[in-house]
Amino acid sequence: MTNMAVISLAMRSLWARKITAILTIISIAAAILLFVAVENLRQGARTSFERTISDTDVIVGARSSPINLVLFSVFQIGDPTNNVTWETYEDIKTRKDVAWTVPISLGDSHRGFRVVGTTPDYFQHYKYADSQSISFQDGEVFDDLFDVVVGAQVARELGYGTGQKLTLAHGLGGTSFVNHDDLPFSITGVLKPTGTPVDRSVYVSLGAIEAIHAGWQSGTPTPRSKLNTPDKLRTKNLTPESITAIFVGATSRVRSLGLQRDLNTYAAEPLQAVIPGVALSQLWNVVSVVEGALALVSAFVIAVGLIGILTSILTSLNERRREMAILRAMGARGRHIVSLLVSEAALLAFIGSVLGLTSLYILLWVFRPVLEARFNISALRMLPGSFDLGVVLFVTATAAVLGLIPAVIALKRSLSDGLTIRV
Amino acid sequence: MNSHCLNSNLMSIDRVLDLKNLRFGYTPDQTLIEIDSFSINHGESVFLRGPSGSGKSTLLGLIGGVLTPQAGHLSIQGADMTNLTPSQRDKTRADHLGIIFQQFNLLPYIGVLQNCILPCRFSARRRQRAVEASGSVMAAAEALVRGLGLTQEQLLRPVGELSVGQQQRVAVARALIGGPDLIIADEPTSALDHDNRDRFIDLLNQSREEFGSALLFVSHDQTLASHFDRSVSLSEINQKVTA
Repeated sequence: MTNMAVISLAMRSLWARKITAILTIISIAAAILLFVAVENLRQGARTSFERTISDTDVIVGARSSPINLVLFSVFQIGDPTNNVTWETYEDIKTRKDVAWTVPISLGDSHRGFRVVGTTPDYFQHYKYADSQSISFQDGEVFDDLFDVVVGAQVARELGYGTGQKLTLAHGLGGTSFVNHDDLPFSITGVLKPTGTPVDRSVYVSLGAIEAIHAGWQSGTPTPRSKLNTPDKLRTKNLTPESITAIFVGATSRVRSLGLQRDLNTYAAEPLQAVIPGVALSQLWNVVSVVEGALALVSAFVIAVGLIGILTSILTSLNERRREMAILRAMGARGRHIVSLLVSEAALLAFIGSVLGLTSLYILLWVFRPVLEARFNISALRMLPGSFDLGVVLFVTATAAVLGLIPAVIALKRSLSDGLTIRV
Repeated sequence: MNSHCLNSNLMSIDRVLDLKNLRFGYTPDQTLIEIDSFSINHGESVFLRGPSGSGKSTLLGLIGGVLTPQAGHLSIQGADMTNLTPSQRDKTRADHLGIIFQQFNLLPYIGVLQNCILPCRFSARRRQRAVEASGSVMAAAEALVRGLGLTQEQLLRPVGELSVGQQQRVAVARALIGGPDLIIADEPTSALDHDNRDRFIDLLNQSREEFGSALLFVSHDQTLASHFDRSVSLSEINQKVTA
């Protein structure tokens, strides 16, 4: 008897028990869907994460931890601990091994989105993914003191377009008690989506940050600051005393290590200089604990699914004693009985895993816009790859091996049953 | 010992089934079967009367090669089953035996003809003979089932929708396909009423005569014995039964 004939018998036998078979297939499909989805999202998240910043050689801030510095300067998570003085910035800017610098100043927000005070150079030097520049969907870089540029997600969620007015809030929370209501800004540019935290940022000039805090003391407005009008402020010298962090490009990549060392031992004030790639991988190591736990859980779900296959076949053995006895009487060898049950297990696993993969990729196509917008995962794999193929093969092979258990039981039974059928 | 083996092999050449000094028990200290001599000739039909508890199922398991005797010889068409590996015994069963059970003979998840050709899937010999006779195994199955009185429409029905009598006739067709040397029928009429029973046995006898197959018909119902060439009581040949 050929293998195809055994598989065709196994399929027909399964079809005769279709409710159990379908439920078993669904449980395997769900397990595979979960496992591959976790893996895909994990890879996507990691890739998006690594694509966040590119071409910046060193990030400089006040002395804190490297991860904290990257978190608040690039990911806009957490709070800056201290500032860097303007003198230090000027000093770094004029170093021989420094090609460009972009200062940023943080601390304000607009309806939950963080405000970044910077220079127009930011849009020229900040790169993401593979040296991709930020580009404008509409409008242009801020020019006037009260101009503002918004990221793609800010514009989409708040329904903003160029020409609209907005006001900034002091502090980083979603709701702030201290606002800069008296000094409205107008939007001059909307950025194209990048899949990075840039999309969630609001950009103003460094001078603007100074202007809205002019006359403030200890983070609160004073009666004197209430007298500031936009026109008065435009005439003032608004060079900041300090900034939050500096993105630095070295004249050559080899110089960035020396630059980092010099800045970490900077004499005038305690600085922290990090190389973004190094800090990103340190940061990812922190995240990868969760990542590993997720992968472990979904691997267990697959194990449960496989045990489900085993259970359903073992349960069916009693009602199939007759089937086995008929096949034996017709001349089926022991190996036919074994391959019948092994191919049944493998079939359930194979159909289940293919179904799971198909559903996953259909779901990904359907929910792609949501995933990209909500979770900033822009690097999802949208078509099955060799990893998925490997999962299907592994699950099918494991099920076949597990299928040997009921197969051996059925074989032993068919011998002790002889050729007499017990109902 | 050697000459004895040779002797018993020589004796069994014109016999489809030959039992000599057969001993079997599921445990060594409890012998269930103890038959000194029993044989069936080519083309012969034998009625074996076996009440329940007479070791009937065990004997059929031994003849089918699913069980292995502790002592003695059992040969089918000259091949001594006791000297064969389990796989060779399975092959011998597939090649030479057609088996009909009491009832529920058919796999419910495949069609009538698919059920009929099952033996040809496991035996190249029977497949070849079926193809020689009718051109293809499916044609052979169809000819057999139609010859046993099933209509074209009944062939296409799921087997579960056929009556018990029709199912038993499909089982006969399946046992006969590829012309095996011996048909073993284990109480095939117990689920049939009186009229159907006689008709079924006549059909079975007619068809197997066409193929020249011998028949071992096992039943507890002595009234059927007249349909067969010879009648044997299992309790008489099996010394272990004190009935």
